Amino acid sequence: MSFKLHGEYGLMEKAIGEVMASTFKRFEFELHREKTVETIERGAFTIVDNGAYYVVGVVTDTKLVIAGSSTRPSRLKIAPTEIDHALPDLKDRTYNSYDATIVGEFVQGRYLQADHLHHALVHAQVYSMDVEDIREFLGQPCDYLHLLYENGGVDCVLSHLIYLKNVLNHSELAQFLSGVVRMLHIRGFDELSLMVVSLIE
Amino acid sequence: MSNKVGFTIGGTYSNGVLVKLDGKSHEEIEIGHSLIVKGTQRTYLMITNDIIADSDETASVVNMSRKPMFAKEMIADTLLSSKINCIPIASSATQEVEDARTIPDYLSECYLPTPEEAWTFYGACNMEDRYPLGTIKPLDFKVPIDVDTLIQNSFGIFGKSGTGKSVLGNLIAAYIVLYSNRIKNSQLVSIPSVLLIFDMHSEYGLKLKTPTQQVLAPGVAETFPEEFRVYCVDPELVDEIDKEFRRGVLASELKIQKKNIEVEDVVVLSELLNISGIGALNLYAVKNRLEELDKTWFDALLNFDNFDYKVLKSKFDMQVITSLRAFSRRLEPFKHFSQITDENDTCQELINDLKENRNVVVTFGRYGDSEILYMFVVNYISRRLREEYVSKGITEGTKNRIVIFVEEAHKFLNPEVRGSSPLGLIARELRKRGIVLCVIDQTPSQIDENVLGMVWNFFIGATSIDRDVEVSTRTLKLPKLFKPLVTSLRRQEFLTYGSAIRFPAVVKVMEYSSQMGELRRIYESKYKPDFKEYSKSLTKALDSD
Ligand SMILES: Nc1ncnc2c1ncn2[C@@H]1O[C@H](COP(=O)(O)OP(=O)(O)O)[C@@H](O)[C@H]1O
Ligand SMILES: [Mg+2]
Repeated sequence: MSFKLHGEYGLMEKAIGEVMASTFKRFEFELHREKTVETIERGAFTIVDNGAYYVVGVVTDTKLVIAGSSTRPSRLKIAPTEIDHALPDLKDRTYNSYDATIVGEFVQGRYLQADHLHHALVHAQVYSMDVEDIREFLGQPCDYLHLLYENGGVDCVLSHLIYLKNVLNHSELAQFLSGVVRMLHIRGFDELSLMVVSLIE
Repeated sequence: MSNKVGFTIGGTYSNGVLVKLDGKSHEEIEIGHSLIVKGTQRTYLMITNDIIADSDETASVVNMSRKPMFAKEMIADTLLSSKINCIPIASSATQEVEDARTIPDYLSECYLPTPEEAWTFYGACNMEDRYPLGTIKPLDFKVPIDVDTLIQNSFGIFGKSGTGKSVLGNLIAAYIVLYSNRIKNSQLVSIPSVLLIFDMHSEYGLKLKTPTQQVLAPGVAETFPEEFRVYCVDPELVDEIDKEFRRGVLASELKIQKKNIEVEDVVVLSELLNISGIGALNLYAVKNRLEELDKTWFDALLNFDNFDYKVLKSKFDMQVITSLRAFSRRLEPFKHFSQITDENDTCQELINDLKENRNVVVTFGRYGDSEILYMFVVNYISRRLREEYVSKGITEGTKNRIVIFVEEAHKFLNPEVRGSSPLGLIARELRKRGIVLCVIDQTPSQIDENVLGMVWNFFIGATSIDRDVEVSTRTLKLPKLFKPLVTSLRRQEFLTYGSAIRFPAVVKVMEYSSQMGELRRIYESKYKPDFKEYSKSLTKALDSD
């Protein structure tokens, strides 16, 4: 089956961040500075426009990066929203950097899960993945949760499933989970599936 | 219900084939279900004999989860796996079908049989010589039984009380009647068979009853009255039967003349009468002297207490007198048994009926509850029949075959009475002369091994006693695999195997009333087209339940 992407991943103004580093397993991106501080949820799907292909990542971790001399923030005792206004200089020097696990890619109308061939190119733009695209990506054998587990542990997998609950309806989620259990079984992650299905609400 | 069941994941020939269920709950499969497995080179017929749900640890974890039922659904078929164990029964490759001698390859697809597949293995019914025994589970396919092959040798219907032995006995008897008619009507070389049924509970001569004593349906003799003569051990039955049959004189009293009773007819009852406890009495030795006392030695024995002591003393030792008195007292039931008479004996008439191809039922009525009289009558008639055949040369007396139906067969066929029981002798000696037994019994383990060895076809209803299961499954290829099947059979279900059925099968025996109705219709249209009148009342009786 061949797919077309639904999201507008070429539009720079829709990009949420930019890739700063990547391996085949993961990439790091920094948020573009917007008027308000944007937060990206753990477990969210992102997609990277690499030109001829797209890399799909799931947010696994985040950290604060400070440019300049100080390597850690000091106590300010003001609300975060006031920082922009009161200390514009500081605002310029702090970023949110995210760590995403590469779970697959989209090449020539086809999704690959876990057995992707590419990594994210540095300076490529990162987008939030469109709901329809996520659905189509999940229609595949559901074979990527072990990557999240290895990178972020059980809780990361659970965050991802909570995220998916907002995207999929009940029966889609159930179907997805049965597929997940099957693939995890093949990969020897029975304990993980058991934890996941037992802990999910 | 989808046809797919699962796929094979291994197993052994001796312990059975393991099938992992796929997309099916193990609750949907029962022990005794027939399944087909498509191997790489052959197609296999199998029967389920075990259900395995062994993901117990996973199940206990899932039970603690936040949404146990949802979780269960997610891991069904993967982490919660269900398997079944199957007995390899038969295999087919292209046209040829044979006993299974290997097991299917890994990952062979397993599914419920289609009627065509069941047909390939068991063959089809034709209502001429292959009659429907019952349906295999879970489909509605009728497994045929080859009546001609069945009656070449003795066969056994076993199972505990209430499993449907008598119903099946009647059905098989009806098949034999129809088959004999077919032989008589056609120019077939085979010889017809005739039935001699010892009807302990009046279910063949009269009516089959449910366990709560309600009438279930007419027995085989009432369904085919023109084919049977009924000898009543209980005279009250004669009128009852004539009334029910509404057709001429079919029933008559069974009479036994005292002078025809031989010492061995009584001696064979010794275990039951507990005679071995009575000193070392040798009836054969005192017979002549007893005869001097009364009309017959039997009269003398029955009336022994009434003779003058002096007279007795002149003939017997003290010890013998005491023993004979004790013996006489044990014969109490005979003293009130009016069918033993001075003048009449209908036994020869009965034997002549058999010779002339009339089926005979000996119905006991209330005497069926008297173990001793039942045994006495069966032994007496069997002895006379045997003598008749043994005295004839080998060429004579084989104009027909005789199938003797006997309930509570172990009483006559246990190892203790081996040398003396006429039925046991018949079973062992007269098969070649065309006499075979239909042995009906609750406790086959009490039957003499030598007799069981003559049983070529087995119909096994539920039995829970190990020994009985063991002896009745012994001649199967993989007996131990069938044991769980036998213990879990329902009423009306039988595990069947032997020469008359191509492969072992677990069948639900045909619904009696409707099947007998059907047989009656075939009988009338093919063999006796002039009984429309009778048929109306019979159809009513058969359909009344
Ligand atoms: N083939 C059958 N058709 C209809 N009812 C049956 C059949 N087999 C058994 N039954 C039911 O089971 C009961 C017991 O059967 P029966 O033959 O008397 O058992 P058994 O002789 O083994 O004690 C019957 O009364 C009847 O209700
Ligand atoms: Mg019975």
